[in-house]
Amino acid sequence: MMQSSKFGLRSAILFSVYIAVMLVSAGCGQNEAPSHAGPGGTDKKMIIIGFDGMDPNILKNLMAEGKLPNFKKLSESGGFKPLATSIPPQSPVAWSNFITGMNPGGHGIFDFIHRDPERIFPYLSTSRSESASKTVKIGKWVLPLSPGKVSLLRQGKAFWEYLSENGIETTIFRVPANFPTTDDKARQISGMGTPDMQGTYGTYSYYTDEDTDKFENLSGGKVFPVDVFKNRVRGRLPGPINTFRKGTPESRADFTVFIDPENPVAKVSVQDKEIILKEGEWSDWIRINYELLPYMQKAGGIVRFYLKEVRPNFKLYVTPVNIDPSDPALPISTPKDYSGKIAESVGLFYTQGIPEDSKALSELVLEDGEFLDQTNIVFGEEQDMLGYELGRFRSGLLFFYIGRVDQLSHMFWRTMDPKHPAYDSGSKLKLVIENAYIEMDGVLGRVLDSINGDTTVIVLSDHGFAPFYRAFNLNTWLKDNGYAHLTGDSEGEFFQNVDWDRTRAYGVGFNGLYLNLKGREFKGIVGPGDREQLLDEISEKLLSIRDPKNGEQIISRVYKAEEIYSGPYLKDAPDLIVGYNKGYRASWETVLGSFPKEILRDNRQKWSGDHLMEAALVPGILLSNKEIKSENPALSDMAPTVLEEFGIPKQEGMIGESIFKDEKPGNK
Amino acid sequence: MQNFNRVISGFFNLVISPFKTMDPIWSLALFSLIIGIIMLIIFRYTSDQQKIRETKSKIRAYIFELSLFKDEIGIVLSAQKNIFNYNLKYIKYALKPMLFMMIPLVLILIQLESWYGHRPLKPDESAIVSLKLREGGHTLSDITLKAGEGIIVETPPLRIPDQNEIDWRIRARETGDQDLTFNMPGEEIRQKVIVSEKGLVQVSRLASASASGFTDTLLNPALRHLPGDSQVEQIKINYPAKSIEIYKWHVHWLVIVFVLSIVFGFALKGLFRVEI
Repeated sequence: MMQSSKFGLRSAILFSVYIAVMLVSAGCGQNEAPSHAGPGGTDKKMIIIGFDGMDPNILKNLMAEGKLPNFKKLSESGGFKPLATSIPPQSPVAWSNFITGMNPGGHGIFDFIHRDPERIFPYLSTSRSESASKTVKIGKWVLPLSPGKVSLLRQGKAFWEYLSENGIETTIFRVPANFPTTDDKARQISGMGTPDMQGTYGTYSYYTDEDTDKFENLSGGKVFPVDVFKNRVRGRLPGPINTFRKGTPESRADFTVFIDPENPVAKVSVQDKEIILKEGEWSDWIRINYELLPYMQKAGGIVRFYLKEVRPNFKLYVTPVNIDPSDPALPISTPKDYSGKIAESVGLFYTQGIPEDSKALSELVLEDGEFLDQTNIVFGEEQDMLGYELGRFRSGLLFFYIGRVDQLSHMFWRTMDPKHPAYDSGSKLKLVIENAYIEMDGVLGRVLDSINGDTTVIVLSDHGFAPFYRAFNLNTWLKDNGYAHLTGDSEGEFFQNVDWDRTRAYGVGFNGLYLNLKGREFKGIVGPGDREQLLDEISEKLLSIRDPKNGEQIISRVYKAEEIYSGPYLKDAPDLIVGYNKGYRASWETVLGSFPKEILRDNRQKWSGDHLMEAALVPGILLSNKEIKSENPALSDMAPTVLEEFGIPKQEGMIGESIFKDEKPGNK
Repeated sequence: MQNFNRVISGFFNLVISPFKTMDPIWSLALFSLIIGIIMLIIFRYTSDQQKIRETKSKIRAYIFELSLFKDEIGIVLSAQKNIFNYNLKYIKYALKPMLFMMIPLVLILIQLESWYGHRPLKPDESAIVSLKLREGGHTLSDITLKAGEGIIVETPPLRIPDQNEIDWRIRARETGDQDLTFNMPGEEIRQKVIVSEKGLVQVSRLASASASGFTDTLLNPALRHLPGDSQVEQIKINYPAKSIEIYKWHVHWLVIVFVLSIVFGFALKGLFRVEI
């Protein structure tokens, strides 16, 4: 007994010491130490800031006016040149050129939208999600026996994978076309292309008791008619598709809004959270849990509420349900806990690929000022996250992306261009785009203030900007010129009314034109031997189109894929890439396979600036604090540039050269 | 009940005092140790230690029998039946001490919840303040709220007449005990809002309530009682939930106490000569 007691005392002491050690470790737990020189041992530092959609002409003018002192300082130290964009100049394509150093034939991204030749059905080009392939059904429930899968469709190796392999610390912040993030040692969070919890690029919800007839053909959100009864509104917030239920219904979270009988204020009660909002106020992020399988499977997302109006009409906007960065339901970061660490430091943030809700503005759910407020929330988060990254940056590469200029240029071009069909001479928002450039100058100033002399800084954009005056219905033109045939009179969508037995060509995406080729398309009728002649014929006709309104050429250049692309994915490219003239662009309808009646129409929408045109008309920008020696730098030069800065040679498949290298004849 | 609460809270305040500025894991570890020891002592003096010892020996013996005669199906089944029966007996013997343990345990956990369940507001953080009226008293539109210098009332009142409730959103500006004053005809109520950046502070979401609520008083040790003739039934301040960080994981305090008190209990059972 005595022995047992002694043993008990000894084990108690040992146990207590063990617990104490554990507690000390837990209590003293600090946040992750800042990264120093990577395992590769380099102290080299490089920061690349990507300002999506920053235009060289606007930048030059504002610099000349003295409004962008930091851009001016940077251009004086290393240079400022237009940066040749991708063909076509679309963000997923352009950033894929940047990421891989290849052209679309090498990375396989040709447009925002691709098509499946087996079904001629459009799909988003950068990622694909697949449900579990094996399931078992029990009553109304469907239980997966294998995991679902989300895959990145961009091919080619990203430059940061080479950096990681060489032990160089790398952080890639929200670069487009990188969802899900690549599986390597680089710290990454995904950007454009990241879905919301419903699997879309962002679906807002709008609850109102006003007449909802004006909200028709919505593509960016859902409008829910509600009743105000006893100063209460009840609503359901749609969440992810529930693949655990038969029929895969949408999951929902109920909420109640209590409205004060007189004051413009309301309380939103959702799950165990309550928030009070005044009219015109945005809430902080609220976590919402969707129960997919009772007691077993939940999916969490985050939303912000915006109380637009209390009376006379009740109007409540709710952001798309974003993936919760602190507990992500999908792979939005590498390592997996990186998004959580950011959230811990700066709070919850938008994770959807394009956080600025331009659709809500286009679809008249938000007004100009409200949309600006929403983008200011996004920009505030971006600035906090930039501060977080600059604070921890010690060596290696930091890439940071901001999409503000792009989104504001898309939505507010109409306010500064008197020639635009949607121009409003009384608009008080004429300086929105200019102010966005000035804000980016502030961002750049912050970066420049944070570095020391041996850090290479590059500032670039993926493309520039131009007005979008008139929309061109490519598929309608193909129909009117006998290249496409319909089975009926309806405009249709997703090519549902196309007579494939008689159709020789069709347009998919913003710049792509495909032939209905035998052996490739499911009902192909154009023989391989006729391909060249038909492409020449269509190209010639496209280049000859003139706008009946002003006589201007609508399409300034047409490329054959094999002339401009190289690499293993050339076979998936559109046969022709249509380069629209400044002021023109493919219509929203035509890109998804619709055939509106008229070929051309004025663009009176809020989405008024664009870049989906001929690449040479909308170059991006390139500035550095190191001398840019390249005469005609291009986006595809950036990957070899980064690698060479860290002493890694240009890799196979990369088509560019370092911008800091003297150009030899025939180099490019 | 109020006095009882005051005594218990005073004791906890005393124990926590040296730990207030330290990581909460330390004080939780201490309370877990105290809980572990209290549970052991209660278990020792309220259970039949001899019978528990015998029962456990029997279970061990039958498990040994299982391993010896694993090829004899009859013996295996009989041993399993006996193990099951003696397990039931063990539960029976453990039930009485469990019941004795429950009372002090619940009181301790209620206290701990008031220290570790929620935290004060931080500067620039907002919260909802709710006031609920008794039936048949003032009308909601008679009530106004004024804040001291360290707090801003950010919204007009949000009244929910059929629940006799009125809500505001407040935002903390400065650390310290900040004042809210609710005014209504013939009555003025002052309510303290705690704003603190760090350190352990006892807070209760149910901040004030009329004296009649025994359960409220029991479950909210930091509750302030309103005068008996007050027309206000309760005042709530929606303090944020507190979580404890261990190795970058946010863990609820109850999980920590549950795990550590079991660990301490088992570690010290030999020292206290308790058969569990």
